[in-house]
Amino acid sequence: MLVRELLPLFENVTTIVEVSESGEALREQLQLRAPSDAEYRGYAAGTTMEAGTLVVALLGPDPASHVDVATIAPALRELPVGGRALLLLGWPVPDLPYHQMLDELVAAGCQVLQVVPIDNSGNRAHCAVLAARVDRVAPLRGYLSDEPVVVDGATPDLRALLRLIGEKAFTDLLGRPLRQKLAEAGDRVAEQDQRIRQLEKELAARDATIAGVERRLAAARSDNAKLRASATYRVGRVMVAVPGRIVRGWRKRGTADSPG
Amino acid sequence: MTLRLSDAETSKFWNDRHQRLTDLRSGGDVSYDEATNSMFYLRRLSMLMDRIGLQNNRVAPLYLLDAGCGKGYFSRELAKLGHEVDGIDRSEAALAQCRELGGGPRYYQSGLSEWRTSWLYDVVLTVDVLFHIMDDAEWERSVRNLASLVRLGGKLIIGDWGQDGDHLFGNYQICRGRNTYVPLLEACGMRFESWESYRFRRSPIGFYTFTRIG
Repeated sequence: MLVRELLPLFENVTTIVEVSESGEALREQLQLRAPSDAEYRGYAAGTTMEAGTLVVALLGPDPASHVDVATIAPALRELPVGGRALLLLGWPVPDLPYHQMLDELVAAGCQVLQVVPIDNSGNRAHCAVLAARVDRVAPLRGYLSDEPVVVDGATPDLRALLRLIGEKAFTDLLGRPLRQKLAEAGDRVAEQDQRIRQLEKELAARDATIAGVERRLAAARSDNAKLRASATYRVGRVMVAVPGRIVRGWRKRGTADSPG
Repeated sequence: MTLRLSDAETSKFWNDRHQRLTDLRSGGDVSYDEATNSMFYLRRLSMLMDRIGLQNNRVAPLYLLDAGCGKGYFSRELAKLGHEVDGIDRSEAALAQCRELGGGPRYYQSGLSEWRTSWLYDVVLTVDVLFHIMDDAEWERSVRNLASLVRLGGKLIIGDWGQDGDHLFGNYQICRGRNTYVPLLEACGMRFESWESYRFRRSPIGFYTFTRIG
C-alpha cells in the first residue's frame, strides 16, 4: 500500500493536522486523495479539534525526518471522540518498537484499527497505524478491506470478542517458542560472525607468513643467481669438469722425477 | 440416478487427470482448450487479487492457503505478489509438478478436511474444488475445516455456483447451493459478503466471499 492510498481509508475527514513537520512531500501525498475541501494545517497546542480531524505524523528513529512519540502525545490527547490518527512509522516492520506508541494511544483513549505495511516510501515510513479516539470499543475492522473506517457503528459482539481474545491467547503461546527460536538463530548468527572474524584474522596471519616466506625465497633465488654469475663459481665449475686422470697426474707430478 | 464417485475414486480420478492433461486443462475446464483456459485462469486470478486486497507487502506478507491447489497456478501467481502461500492437494502427480516449478509456495499432500496447522491464515481460497467432493459428509467436514483456518477479519473464498439448491453434473461434480453454504458458514462465525459470477463463457460458477467476524 502506498501513502497516498491511506486517506481514502478514513471517512468524513474535514481537517488534517500534521504534528510532524515533514514539508510538502507528505502533504502532497495525503492530499492527493483527501476530500477537496479538507483543510491541512500544522499542529498548534490547544487549538480545538473536531470529530472530523485526522492527526497525522511521521514517527521514527531519524530526527531529521521523524518526530518521537512524546511529540505526538498532546495531539492525540486533544482529539475528540470520533477523531482519527494516522501515524506513519519509520522503523522497519521486523524491528518495530511499538510499545511506547501503544502506551500513548491507549492513554489518549485511541483504538488501533489497523496497522498496514507501506511500500515505496524509502526510510520515511515502513508502516502506518490507523487509530481512532473512542469512548467504547469500535467495531472490528476487516483488515483486508479497503472500505473506509467507520467508528460509530455497533460494538463488536461477544462472539467476535471471544474470538479475538482466543486468537491472541493462542498466538501468544505459539509466538513464545518462535521468539525463542529467533533469538537462538540470532545467537548462532552472532557466533558464526565471530568465528568468521577469527578465521579472517588467522587467514590474514597466514597470508603475512606466506608473504615473508616468499620474500625470503625470492632473496635466496636472487643470491643463487648472483652466485652462478660470479667468476669464482664459473672457475670452480671448470675445475670440477677437469678429467680425473689429469688431476691425479697433477698430484703425482713430483713423485717420479724427484732425486733419489 | 447417477452414480457418484467415492472419495477414493475422486482422488484417483484427479491424480490421473493431472498426469494425462496439459497444465491448465488438467485443473481447469476440460471443455476449453489451453488458450481459453489461460484466459479463464487469469480472470479468476484477477478476481482473487481484488478480494485479497491491497496488503501485498513482502516485508509483512499475508498468509494464504490454496486448498486443492492442483498444479499450483494460483499459488505461484499469488506468491509473486509477495504473499506466503501454502498449497494443499491430494494428487501426488500435481504436487510433483508444483515442486518442480517452484516459485515460492510450499506444498503439502492433504485433503481439504485433513489439513492441520499451528497458524491461522489471512485468506483461505479454494477454487472450483469443493464441487468435486461428492460425499456430502466429507464436503461439510472440508468446509468447516477450511473455515476454522481463517483468522478473525480474514477471508474464505470459495468457487462454486451461486444459486440455491444443489446440482449434480455428471458423476464427478456436485454444486452445493447458496442456501447450503451460507447457513453452514454463518454458524462457523463467517459473514457472507458476496457471490460474484466468473462471467466467463456462461460458466454458472463464481466466487463466494466470507469474512470471519466471530
